[in-house]
Amino acid sequence: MSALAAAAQLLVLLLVAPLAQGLIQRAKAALQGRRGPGVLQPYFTLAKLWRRQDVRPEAAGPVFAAAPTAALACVAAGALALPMLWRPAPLGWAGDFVVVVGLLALQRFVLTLAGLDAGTPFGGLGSSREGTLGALVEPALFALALPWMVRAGGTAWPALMAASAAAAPAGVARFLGLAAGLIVALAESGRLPVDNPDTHLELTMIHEAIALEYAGPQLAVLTLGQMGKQLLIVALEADLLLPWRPGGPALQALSALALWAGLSLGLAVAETLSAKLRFFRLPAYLGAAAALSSAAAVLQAWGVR
Amino acid sequence: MMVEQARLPSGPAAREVEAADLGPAAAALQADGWRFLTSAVADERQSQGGFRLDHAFVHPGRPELAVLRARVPADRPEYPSLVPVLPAVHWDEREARDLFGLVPLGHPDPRRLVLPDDWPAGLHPLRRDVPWDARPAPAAGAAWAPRGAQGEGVVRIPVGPVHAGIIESGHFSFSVMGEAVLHVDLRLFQKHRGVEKVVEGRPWAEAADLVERVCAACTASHQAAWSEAVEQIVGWDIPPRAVHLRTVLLECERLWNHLHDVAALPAGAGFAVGAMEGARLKERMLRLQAGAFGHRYLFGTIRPGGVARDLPAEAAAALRRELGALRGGVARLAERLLGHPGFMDRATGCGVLRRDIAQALGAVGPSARASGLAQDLRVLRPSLGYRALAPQVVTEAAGDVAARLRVRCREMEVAFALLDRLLHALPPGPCRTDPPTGAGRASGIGIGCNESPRGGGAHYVELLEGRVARCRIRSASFANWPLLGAAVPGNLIGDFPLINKSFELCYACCDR
Repeated sequence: MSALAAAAQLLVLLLVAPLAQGLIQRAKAALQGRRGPGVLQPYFTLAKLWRRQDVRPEAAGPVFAAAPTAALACVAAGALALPMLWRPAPLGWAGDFVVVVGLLALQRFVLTLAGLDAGTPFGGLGSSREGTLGALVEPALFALALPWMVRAGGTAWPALMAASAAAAPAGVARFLGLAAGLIVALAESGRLPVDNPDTHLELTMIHEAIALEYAGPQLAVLTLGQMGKQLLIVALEADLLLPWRPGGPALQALSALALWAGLSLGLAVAETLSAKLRFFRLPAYLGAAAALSSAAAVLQAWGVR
Repeated sequence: MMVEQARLPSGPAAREVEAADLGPAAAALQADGWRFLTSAVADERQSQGGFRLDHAFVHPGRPELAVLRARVPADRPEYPSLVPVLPAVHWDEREARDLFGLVPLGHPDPRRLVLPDDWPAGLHPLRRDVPWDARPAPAAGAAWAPRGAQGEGVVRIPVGPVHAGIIESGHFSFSVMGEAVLHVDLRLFQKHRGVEKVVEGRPWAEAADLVERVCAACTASHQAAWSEAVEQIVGWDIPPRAVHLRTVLLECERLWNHLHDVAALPAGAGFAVGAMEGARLKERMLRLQAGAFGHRYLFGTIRPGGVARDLPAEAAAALRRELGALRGGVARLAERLLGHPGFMDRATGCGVLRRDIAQALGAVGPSARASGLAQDLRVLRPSLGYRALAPQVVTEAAGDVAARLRVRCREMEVAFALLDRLLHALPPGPCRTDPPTGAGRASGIGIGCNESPRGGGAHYVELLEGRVARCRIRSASFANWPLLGAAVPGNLIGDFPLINKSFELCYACCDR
């Protein structure tokens, strides 16, 4: 049963991630007054890339070649350590919240190396920015769980979710947490105001600068990994901040999917309202997320529900 | 409203000076308040034994131009560079060195500007003995080396000429330290078309079709300047209705270009809602132009002697009504952009062009006005309907991206008001006249100039027996590109697209 659930969870992550991406793109287009591509477009894009020729920079080495697969593996492992659809997580015995955060950090590290290994100025620029961004966003991501950690006294998923579920549904801590979660999700999924996934302006790119030298199947794997990471972050925040799920397995899965769709649409709205921040404003922006979470933690510690 | 009968200023009278005295003479003119407009070199080795080097200046409130003329002998094609007294000509001189082999002694930049690396040394395509379709075999010319900062931690980032988006071809070489830009060097002129060469020898009536294609963004300005230059030479008065309609066309062009440029800015900061809203408004304007003037981008509208197509009274009234409807949308767009805290945070204090640098480098158009210079040919040397209209010159002091945005937003307001007045009172009569007798065999030099959306531009035209002997087009973009090198250093490299878009200069105007 556990192996089956693990396989199902992995499959869902990889199959649903492009749909979430398509949903966000479609919503953004609608909010901008455009028709935009259909929600299934990311699947077509991945299929197109998969059939294309693989071109690599002459200077690129084995790290560049291995990075897309390694990054996708990090995301997949994170999906197994997270109770995405059903509880407990398939690999729940092997990992808690910290492991998921660590896997995401590892994924970022792998991509940073890949940008450097490409041997082009844009890759180096992207890696440098990704490194800076990682140092800012990872503490903020970790801080998301702080309010529930202080009550649960640990970082295991069941305890964290129980603590979150036990807190007041519309309490101050939850709203602070949701605000922080929005900032973190926008940053981790490479969206405005931190990074612009739709830009063609090489000089402003963060994640896209690393992806710039990839082509064909390698780019497909890299893109799928990025979409998977986006969904993983959404699922992680759904578990942490909105942990209630109704009874049976089917209902649990459906409610999780609906919640992800809702949160993804929230990302689209937030992104539409933003302009990109100047790069050196990011510490203040992501620091705000950490501060909001910390305030929620203090409230929880004091017993404010 | 009254527009006086078009009395075009007569062709410029040139003052001949020794090449060695050009610098002092230009300095004296500047001290008297004259401002550099354009320069042109012509190959007169067959008739005069050398090259003719003209520099034209305008003076606020004076209809005539001042032209300094120097002659450079064919056997020693060199002259002291004007850059020390007139930094604005530093690209003009490099261009003339490439295209004519005329060497400006003491010019600070010995590199090629126009010619590619593999163009053979010593072959100067604008000389008369080089055929227009010459295709020399690639040879070792002078390799272009980017200039920039050096030292530990300084990284060179080459960008372009092929870009990730649909952008014209330009190469930028950045020296960066971390995220900060220390220096940027430009290499444009990647797709030079040789328009100035191809029009040589053609009758003036045919050349307009080529000249207007120099650039789609400010084609009406190009057509108006070309026509004015030709009309000066042949002594051609255009009817009041044509004067009026040309002014309408120039203001329409300003409006759609400003809309385009204002819409491009939020795209540079990832603010897609503003960009899309601007793009929608621009499209509405282009469709209005297609309906009223027969072409979305105003090609084929202005020709020597008047305008190519009349605007019937109903069409003028409809255009006026539609523009009135568009005006509200444009005001809302400006409000939305200027009121967006995130976007304005990016635009404020970013890409500052200092006033003294703008003045020294001869900045023109909204970029100059945003740095506090009241530089506007519509007022400096009013032609067409601008003498009566006396448009307000919008200036800002800060010189940053936000200032350039504000100038454009307010100039759109001014353009709407001007168009409303112009379309309300179109004088009756013909919209073009026949050329005076002998126009087909006229000879002489004419300089037409006007304020294009990006600033003042000029066409220097020489006719010989009714055929084009020389045509030099100096557009606002040519004048303003070097400003980028002054506005970008000190900013974050990620802010470059935003700064670049705030100038929104044209590559094709260099690749003419």
